[in-house]
Amino acid sequence: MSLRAINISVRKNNHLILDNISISLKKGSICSVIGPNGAGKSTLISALSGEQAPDTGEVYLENLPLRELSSEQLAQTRAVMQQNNNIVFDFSVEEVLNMGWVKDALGSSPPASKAVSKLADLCLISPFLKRSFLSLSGGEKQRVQFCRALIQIWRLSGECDPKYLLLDEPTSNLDISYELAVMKILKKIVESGVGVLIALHDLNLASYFSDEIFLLNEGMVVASGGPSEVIRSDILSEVYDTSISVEERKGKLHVYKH
Amino acid sequence: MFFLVVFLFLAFILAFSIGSVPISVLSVFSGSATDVEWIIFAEIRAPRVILAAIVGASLASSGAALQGVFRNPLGDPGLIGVSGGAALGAATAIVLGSALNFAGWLAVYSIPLAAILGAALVTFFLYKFTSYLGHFSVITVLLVGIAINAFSTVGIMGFQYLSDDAQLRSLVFWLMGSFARAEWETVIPAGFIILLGVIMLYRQTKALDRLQLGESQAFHLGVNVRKLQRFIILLTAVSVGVGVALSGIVGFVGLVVPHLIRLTLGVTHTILVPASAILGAVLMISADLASRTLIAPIELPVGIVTSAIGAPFFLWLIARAKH
Repeated sequence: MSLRAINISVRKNNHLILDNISISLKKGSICSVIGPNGAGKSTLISALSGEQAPDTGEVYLENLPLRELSSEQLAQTRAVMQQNNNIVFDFSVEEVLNMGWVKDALGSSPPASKAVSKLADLCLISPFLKRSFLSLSGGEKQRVQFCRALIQIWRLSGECDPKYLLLDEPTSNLDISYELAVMKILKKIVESGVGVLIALHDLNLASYFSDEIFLLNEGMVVASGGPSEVIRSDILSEVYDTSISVEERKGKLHVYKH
Repeated sequence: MFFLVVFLFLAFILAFSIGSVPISVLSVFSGSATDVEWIIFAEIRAPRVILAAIVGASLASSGAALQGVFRNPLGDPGLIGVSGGAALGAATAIVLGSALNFAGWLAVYSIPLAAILGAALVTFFLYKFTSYLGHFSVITVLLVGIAINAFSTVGIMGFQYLSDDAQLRSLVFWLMGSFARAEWETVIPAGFIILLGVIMLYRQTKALDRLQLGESQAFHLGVNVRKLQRFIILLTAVSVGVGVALSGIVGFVGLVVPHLIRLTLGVTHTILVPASAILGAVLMISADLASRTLIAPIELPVGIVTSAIGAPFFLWLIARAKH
């Protein structure tokens, strides 16, 4: 049971963005994608979501090629959170959250609104459910979008079809406490069998919370495996082109920049 | 929403009653109206008021849906060139119609038919041209719309230059919009098409809401974005084309009504689209009532009334958007 990309390449404007990448996201694990700006993290998420069809190679969802699935079918098995928060009209936070209901078409039913308030509590956004989305700060908007993605894979009926969460830098605008809160929520969700793929620029977050890490550079996977295999000062220093040291403390790897 | 329905009911009653010959709606429905009153009601006033209502509903709900598709509060049915195409069709029929000497029944229908044909051609062209380009982007549609509008303007100016005095008067009158030509033979089929259009738009409102999160986020939420955009543009083109064919150009309703609804009832399309349809009908019935009573017995073209109110409102919107 997995979401797998096999030897995919993506070309945009004659520029190779992803170069023959293979990656597998298993149910019940957190998998991070790290790498410098322009390494291809967002494009990889876009390809795994089915939005960007690879030029070569293939992405499989439970052994079915992604391009044979409709956007509706895809929406029921995976949720995606992107960095873009550009909404024109004045929707309330609650209305934005309710757009997440794709399987149970029950946006306003009592069990659905109960689930929304439970998830809003979890994501610490309950105080501004009724507020206008446009009036929120960047970080608050990000928490709302995160919560909407959770709603998309939430099932009122409790069925256990495989589900994946693809997140593109979900913590980029968050302060430290919310950053940790989001990662802890992900840890909890993974226990229920969801597979989480998360693009991160914070190497420490990736190191603390990932089961598996993929380090991307110039569209290629430079290193992959558990934190101890990727979070190494020699590898990181070379890819990020700065001197980076790694120390182990209390069983966790910590990254320092010099 | 409830108040809107009440407003619509009141607008109908008022518009049925007031006119050069006042009619009591009660007496019409209780059967105690005189023959003259009955004929005026059934043959002149009722089709006219109903035409105003369906054209208003069509323009306003199409405006709401197009603003959603373009993710831009300045979207309007006129923008994609459909009204321009219909106008060029009508101008052709008005100026060349007498020269072609249509048979009796065809002469009556020649202007609306030519306008529908013009709108349909523009719609078809939009569809084909975007297919030819291999991708469907809203920017392309807007640019094509601008080009079509420019082309229609040139065509209409050409016909104005060629036409004699009577044709010119008829053409100018058509371009300013009026419901005075309403007849059951055209109002009933147009009403069906427009009502069906509003229902079909309503079925897409959840997808339209998701589109507001951005095209790719809408895709992630299960919306077939290209299909939705194309469907709504073609649907509104047909609906507006049919309305414009019978009434001429009536500006600003498609732009202004959705804004009023957003300010009062909210922005979710599930409410916005049907509420805009109702408020559009109310405003259009009122505008038509104003156009035929303000300086009676002379009738103002209804397009003058809507634009006179719409243009300052539009300026206010631009000023408001800056803040």
